[in-house]
Amino acid sequence: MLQLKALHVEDFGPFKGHQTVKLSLQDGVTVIYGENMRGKTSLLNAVRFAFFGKVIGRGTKTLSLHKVGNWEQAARGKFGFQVQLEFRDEDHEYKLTRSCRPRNGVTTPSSDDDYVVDYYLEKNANVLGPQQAEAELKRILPEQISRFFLFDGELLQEYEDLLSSETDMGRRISEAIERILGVPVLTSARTTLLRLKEKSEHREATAAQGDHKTREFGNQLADLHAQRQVLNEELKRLEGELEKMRSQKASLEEAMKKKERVAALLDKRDTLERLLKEIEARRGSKMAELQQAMAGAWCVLLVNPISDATKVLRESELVLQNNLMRAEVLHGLQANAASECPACLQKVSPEARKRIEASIHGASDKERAEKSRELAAVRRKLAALDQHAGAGRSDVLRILWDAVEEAAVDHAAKQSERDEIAKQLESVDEESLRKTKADFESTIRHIDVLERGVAKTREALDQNKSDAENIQKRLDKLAGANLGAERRRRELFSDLHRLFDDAVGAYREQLRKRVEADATRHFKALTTEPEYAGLRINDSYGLTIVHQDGADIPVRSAGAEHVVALCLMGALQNNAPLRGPIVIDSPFGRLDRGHTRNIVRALPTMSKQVVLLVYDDELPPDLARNELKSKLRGEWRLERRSARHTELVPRKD
Amino acid sequence: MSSATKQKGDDQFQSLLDTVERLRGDKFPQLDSALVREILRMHADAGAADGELARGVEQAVECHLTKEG
Repeated sequence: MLQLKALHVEDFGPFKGHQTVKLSLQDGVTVIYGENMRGKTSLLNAVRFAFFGKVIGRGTKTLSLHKVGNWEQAARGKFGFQVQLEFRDEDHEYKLTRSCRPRNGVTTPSSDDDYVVDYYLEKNANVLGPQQAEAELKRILPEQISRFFLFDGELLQEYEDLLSSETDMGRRISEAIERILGVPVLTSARTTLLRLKEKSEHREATAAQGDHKTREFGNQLADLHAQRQVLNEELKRLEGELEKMRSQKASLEEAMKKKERVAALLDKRDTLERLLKEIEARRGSKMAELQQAMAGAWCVLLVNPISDATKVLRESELVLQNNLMRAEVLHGLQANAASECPACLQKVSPEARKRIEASIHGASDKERAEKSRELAAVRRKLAALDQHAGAGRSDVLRILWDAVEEAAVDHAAKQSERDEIAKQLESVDEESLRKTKADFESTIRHIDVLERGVAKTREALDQNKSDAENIQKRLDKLAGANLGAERRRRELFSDLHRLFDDAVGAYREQLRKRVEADATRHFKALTTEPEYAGLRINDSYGLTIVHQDGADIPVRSAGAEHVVALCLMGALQNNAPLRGPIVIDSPFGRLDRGHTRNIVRALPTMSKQVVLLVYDDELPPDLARNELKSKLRGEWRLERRSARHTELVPRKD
Repeated sequence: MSSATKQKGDDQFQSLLDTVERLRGDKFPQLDSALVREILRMHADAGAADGELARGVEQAVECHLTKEG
């Protein structure tokens, strides 16, 4: 088992000069206390840098090494840093030293390119060669599974993704879990046997081509194998590309998650800007309507005189209209003596005609034309008065004015909101955020294309295999010179491949049961909710809380998520052949006192060596001492000297 | 190698072997148990590159076929 003995840091982050933290080799927990910004994450990163040459910021983003060196030293012109880790593994003593120094000739480095990262590994006081050192480190702590040993408590949230088969982060964690549990032993055996099975099929096909009885089948099989090789290569290429894209998607997802709030603000600002434009257009059109309406607004003052004049004119119009009509009818009757009355269709008697002639006496054509002109003039006046009466309607003006006012108020409110958001976004690199979003969308599209390509290639491969099997069956009925030996070889590889293929599934199932049982054991010790009965595992090693009535608890808090993730960690440590220290940064930040107490008490059962990086409020020293008792192997404190200088000192209070 | 770690590694190998052996007995009794164990051991030790592993397995199978006649 890997056990850390001491960590020496020199000018790493806030740790100015050479400083050391010693860790006990006895089973138990070491607690390192430090308030915010004192260097807890830097300390975790120092271990990570020693093993893998990487420094990770909050989340999973790799940090620039240029920014890792101590700033006070850099201000004095001293750049670079070094970490040395002393550890024991399988009864051997190791000393791993990794440094980051400015390149020769660079006096004032400005980027990572100006540095050289170098390391050497001593095993039992002998320095190992580079290849041997690399192989030893990969064996002792492979980077792919380091997430189960060195982690930021905040990132425990990621384990929620295991519950969804959709996320790439979940897939990555699931793969890492299988790696630590030893599944790759079986999957790699299966891959080897598949390759050898295909090779033996090819050999059999070649042998069949050499015999005249079986030549035709041999040729067909050889063609199918050649085609399969091409398809396999294409599948490998597509899957490689897909893996790369999924990994890129997971990183972009992570980056977007961190910028979620900013992205939401940007979206809101964009929406507000669109709305502002719409309001401006609406206000503009209402203003134009109002201006037009205002041109006749003076008419409001003349409403009464206009109304009186209209009344008089309407009466006059009526009189004139009646007179004119009467004159027209009488003239019509006079002009046509035999005609009937147009109203009652009765014949007009001579007496009646006499009366008509008396009535129209004196009403000449000229007079009728005069009356007609008079009527037209009255109607023109009425039309003019009507127009001014409409233009002067105050209710229409009020509605328009209110609409303009309302638009102005709405505009001012939205503008103020937009300005407030703009202020919050002042220091945000908007371009980078937009680029991340665009990259994410393009990656999703690319993944979709690749997934379809993979599915299509697999389909072609299945068809190829089925065709080959059919030919193989027919070939099996024939005997040939070398065919017997090749057939036996092919059948053996085929059986071996099927055996290991079945074994992968069966072993995974067993592992899931064991991990579920161990995680449940830890969970019962950690949870403060008596009604929770345990955890249920899914195909991706995601764990769901189960109530005592057998129902799943569908939604859980961030704190519960941490508890479940820690249970998984404990279960993995218990079931993995590779065991090591757990170094956790801020593990209790989201937990209440009850859960914190339970976890602290259970930590020694999860791993033989645990290092906690905490602040006093997160884990009060008295609580740690009371719960851990003799399992508390050391207490250290990160003491402030300045904003850029922290000292590692044993805690004695 | 510390006894605890070695024990743990051995336990895991045994667990893998138990799974494979159970399936072999149930579904592939015609397969040789020693050959299956050897293939599994090669992959559990896994220091070798893919190509070397394949060669090792191929040799083991050839050996087995020769013995069988």
